[in-house]
Amino acid sequence: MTTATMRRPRIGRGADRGLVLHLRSRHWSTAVPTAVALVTALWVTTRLSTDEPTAPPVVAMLAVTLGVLALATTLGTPDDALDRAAARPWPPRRLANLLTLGAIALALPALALPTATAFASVGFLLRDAAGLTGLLALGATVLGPGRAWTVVLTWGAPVAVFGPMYLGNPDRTVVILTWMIQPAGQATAALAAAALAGIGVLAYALVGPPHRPASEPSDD
Amino acid sequence: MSRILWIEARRSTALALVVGVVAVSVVSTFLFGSRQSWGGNWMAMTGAQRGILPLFTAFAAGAGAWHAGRDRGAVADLIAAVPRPRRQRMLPALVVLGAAAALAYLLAFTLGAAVVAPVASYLDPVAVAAVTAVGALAMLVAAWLGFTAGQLVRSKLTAPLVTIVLPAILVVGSVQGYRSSGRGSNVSLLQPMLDTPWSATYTVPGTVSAVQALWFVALAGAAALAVCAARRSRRVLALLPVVVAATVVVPHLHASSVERQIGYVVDPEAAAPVCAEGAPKVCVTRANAALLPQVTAPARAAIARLACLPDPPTAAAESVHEWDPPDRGTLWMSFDSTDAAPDGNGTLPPAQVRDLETYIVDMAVGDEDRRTSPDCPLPPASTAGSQG
Repeated sequence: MTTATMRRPRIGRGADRGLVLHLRSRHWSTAVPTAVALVTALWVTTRLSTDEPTAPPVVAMLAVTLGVLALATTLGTPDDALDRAAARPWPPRRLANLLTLGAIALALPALALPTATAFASVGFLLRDAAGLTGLLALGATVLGPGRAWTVVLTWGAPVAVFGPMYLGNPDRTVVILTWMIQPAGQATAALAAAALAGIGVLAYALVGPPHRPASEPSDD
Repeated sequence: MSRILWIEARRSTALALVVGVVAVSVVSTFLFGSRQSWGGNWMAMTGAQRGILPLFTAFAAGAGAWHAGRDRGAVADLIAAVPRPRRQRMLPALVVLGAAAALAYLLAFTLGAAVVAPVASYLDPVAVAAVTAVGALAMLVAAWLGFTAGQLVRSKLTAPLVTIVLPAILVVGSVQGYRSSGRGSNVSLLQPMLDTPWSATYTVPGTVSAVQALWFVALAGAAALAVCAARRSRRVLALLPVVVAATVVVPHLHASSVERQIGYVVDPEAAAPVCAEGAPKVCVTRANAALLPQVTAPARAAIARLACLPDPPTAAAESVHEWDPPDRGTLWMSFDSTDAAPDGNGTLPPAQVRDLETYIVDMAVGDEDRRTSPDCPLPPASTAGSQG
């Protein structure tokens, strides 16, 4: 046991120690570099294939989606039965974890704003980061963190393929279905994203991922 | 073998894959207006199914990659301890996933066929079957490539990433293909996506389908070799079928004749004229034969209106090539535009039939010579409707 303790790096005391342990158990140390790599790769691809100052809306949506999906692994733990046994107030912790996820998913594509190829305006990125984080959180609450990505892609993939054809369409149902690629000023789309963000964040923070029996191997 | 296949089918993502693709197919057919855009044309429907492949392959690749991550942790250790060749464990998964992906595509095609068959005027069964078979094969390849990626890169992110990246490659490959098509290159046919054909008379030549089939068989072989290889060093062998197929396929892609749209040529059978009884002569192509009853009267009215021209048209016919020779005796019509195109019932919508005469005259007076003809001053194209 002593060797095991000694091999680990020092991780401080008190609140610090709790934070580091939390980040480690949620795989933040691999998720963030992965998100950075994916969004950077997308930016380089976009930069090489277009001379426009702003990428198409589908690419901007993809940039936020990649960040959100890469960070989705931080919504669960290897053993949530053990987590729940701990006498900690989990809702604020889950909320903080989720908000950090959303903030990074927003910040990564926003870093491209000053470059020659921006993904989209801040408003667009903010709406997509909020809405997609909410959608992911909803997926994590209902299906579990390991399957949450399927919810994001089930909505996102048809929008990416069919959505651009319907971009000018003012029909409210169409706007709500394609909220991820609507122009930044579109109020209905912003409302749809806000609703998803509200419901998703509340559900994940208050309820959390579904209980798995300890005997079942983690699928995330 | 059949027992293990059945177990694998139940304990895999195969069912989810089929359900997902069929659901997307139903939604795109009836909600996103695919049915309308097919216009009751077999090849339009068949080509359009290949056009949704980015979405279909997303399901196939995602399902494959996810399935590859099924045996983990203690289960993986247990399986690894069994002294059986690796391929014996991999083959059932490959067979089930590939069959599910191909079946899903065929079900989507069947849905489209059920919509198109009652109203279509023309069918080239061989070409439609070939284009569909290549699509089903591409789905199998997508599922196998996803499975291979999931086996080789054992990460939680593999499945979502493969789901995004493979369709993105298809879309980018198709767009780049159009950019480079001016240079006579058809390398974009190495990806399976096709557009909805721009004209009812278009078909995919057998050489294109054959060459694509060969290429996808090679890709499937590569995926199978990579995933079944017992040692890492042997995975390099997987490149062999790809390289061999590329040397055979790429020259043929350049050689295959393609007209305006990548992958398509005019089918002479579909473009053969079908003419109305009586005079003046009014003809449409065989593929649009259902339009003839609607078109005949407006076309004859247009001929009558242009009778004052110095060399008036005496017949009307659907144009097959954009570069049809200017024939003063014939009034050319086209049913590929938004002004006049068959809808999901395979006929022109009533509003278009009402404006058809004006539309046909407009196309004729668009010809500068005729507009400036002093003997027969025709109104400008834009105001022609108010006089008709």
